[in-house]
Amino acid sequence: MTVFRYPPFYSYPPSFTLQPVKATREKQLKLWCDLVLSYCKHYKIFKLSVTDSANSSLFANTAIDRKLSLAAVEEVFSRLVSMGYGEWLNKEANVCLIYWRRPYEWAEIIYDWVERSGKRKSILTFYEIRFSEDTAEFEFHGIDPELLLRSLQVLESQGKCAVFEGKTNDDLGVKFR
Amino acid sequence: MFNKLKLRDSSLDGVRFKLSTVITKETREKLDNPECFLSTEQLNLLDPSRGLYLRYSVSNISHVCLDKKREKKFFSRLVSVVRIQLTNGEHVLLGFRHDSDQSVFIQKLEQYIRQHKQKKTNETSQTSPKGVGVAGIMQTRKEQVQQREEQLQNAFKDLESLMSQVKGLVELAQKYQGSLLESKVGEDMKEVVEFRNMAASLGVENPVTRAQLGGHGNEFHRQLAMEVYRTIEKPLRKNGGMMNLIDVYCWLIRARTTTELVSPDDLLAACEMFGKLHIPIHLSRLESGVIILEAGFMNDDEIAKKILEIVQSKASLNAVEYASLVNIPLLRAVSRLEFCEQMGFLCRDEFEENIRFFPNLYF
Repeated sequence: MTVFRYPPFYSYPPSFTLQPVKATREKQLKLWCDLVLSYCKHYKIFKLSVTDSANSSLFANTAIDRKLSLAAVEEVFSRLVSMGYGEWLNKEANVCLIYWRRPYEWAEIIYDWVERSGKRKSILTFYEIRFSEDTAEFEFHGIDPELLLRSLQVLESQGKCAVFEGKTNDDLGVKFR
Repeated sequence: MFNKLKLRDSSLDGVRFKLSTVITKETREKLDNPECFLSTEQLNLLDPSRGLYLRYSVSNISHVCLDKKREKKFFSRLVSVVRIQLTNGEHVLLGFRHDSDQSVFIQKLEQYIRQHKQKKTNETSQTSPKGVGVAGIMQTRKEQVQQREEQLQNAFKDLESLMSQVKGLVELAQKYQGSLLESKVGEDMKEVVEFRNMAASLGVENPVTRAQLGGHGNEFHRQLAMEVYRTIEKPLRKNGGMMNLIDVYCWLIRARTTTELVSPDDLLAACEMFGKLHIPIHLSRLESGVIILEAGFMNDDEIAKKILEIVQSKASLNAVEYASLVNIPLLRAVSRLEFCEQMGFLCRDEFEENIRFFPNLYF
């Protein structure tokens, strides 16, 4: 996998201080949100923990010895969520699904794959969708089960599939129509 | 000019002092092992090895003092220099070999100068015998005026001699004021005005000027205010619309090509007139007591852009660096940078309690 190339603002020291001036801060947060989305897309990351990512290279640039504070990282996440590019996985708001593709987009991609590979009218487990060799070359290979469930629920609402309950997430099954 | 020394020159009598250095306006030549001879009539500076000498008549010396300012400038060793002020405005600097010689020399020379002055006044009073009645009083008055005039003239010759004479001037001014109040219906108003202006430009705390002019200020300060505006408009713009009064003073003195100096008090008085003269510069006194001038002719945008330019020139600045760069108090520097940040021209980088400001690259 190629190394992610950070945008220029990542090397600009003021980026790591939440700017007090509103207009500037808006622009700054927008750039951080864009960075999170492109970073997650590059490394195929589907969910992030606030505290873990605050200490990762995503929010800390060791080259210029700057690090975004935890409060600022939280601000970035809540901005992502409010813009519809993320969703909190728990009430404590410390783990977040990152929607570098929104659930409805995933739904389209998955259904496209189902149609093309002749999987209609068949039943698949979540595990098969996520990890079978058939899906290896697709973006949703390795997708987070929570996100898969949300995407399939989109298809379900369109009447394109039905989700079966299971004991664990990987036991969940889906029947495509 | 140096004169050639004749062997056993009889005029070279008096007390002999060994010198280390001689500096005169006439020559920058270095004298080898210079010496000087001081007698009641003459001061001879002498280069024995080359047989040259310089002669000054004691009657041509106005005063002598220690020049502390030159202590280090001329000598590697910490030696103070004796400054001899001549009546023609020139001066001679002497460095002595032995520190003890210095005070002896000054004491003697001062004594000789006094003797000469005494002789002179005796002579003049002899040549113009005092009259009686009104004519006599007028004669004495005239002489007094002449004497004062001379004192004033000397005082203006250069700043250093002025500093040494300022004490006498203040006394004179007070005496003068007393006699002015006595004869309120003074016929010679021209003289009064002239003196007042002179005293004012000296920055002498003179109740005559201040009290009589009241709050209206005078023409001198009005003119000065205009001059200050013309002089500092550009530098003020360059500095982001704010300057320390001390810097303003330096600018003004530098800009004045003439030797006429302005006292800080006058500058302040002139600056206080900006409002009345509708000059768009504000004088403000900070809590720390520092006085600064702020440009009222620049709008917020212009000011912020100037600050941005200064920050850009250094890539980034913290308040301390900015304060020392444009020479304003720290607290003021902070508020300036924050103002510029509010305007969206700067961003901050907070790191370990240190806030640096960068040009705003987000827009």
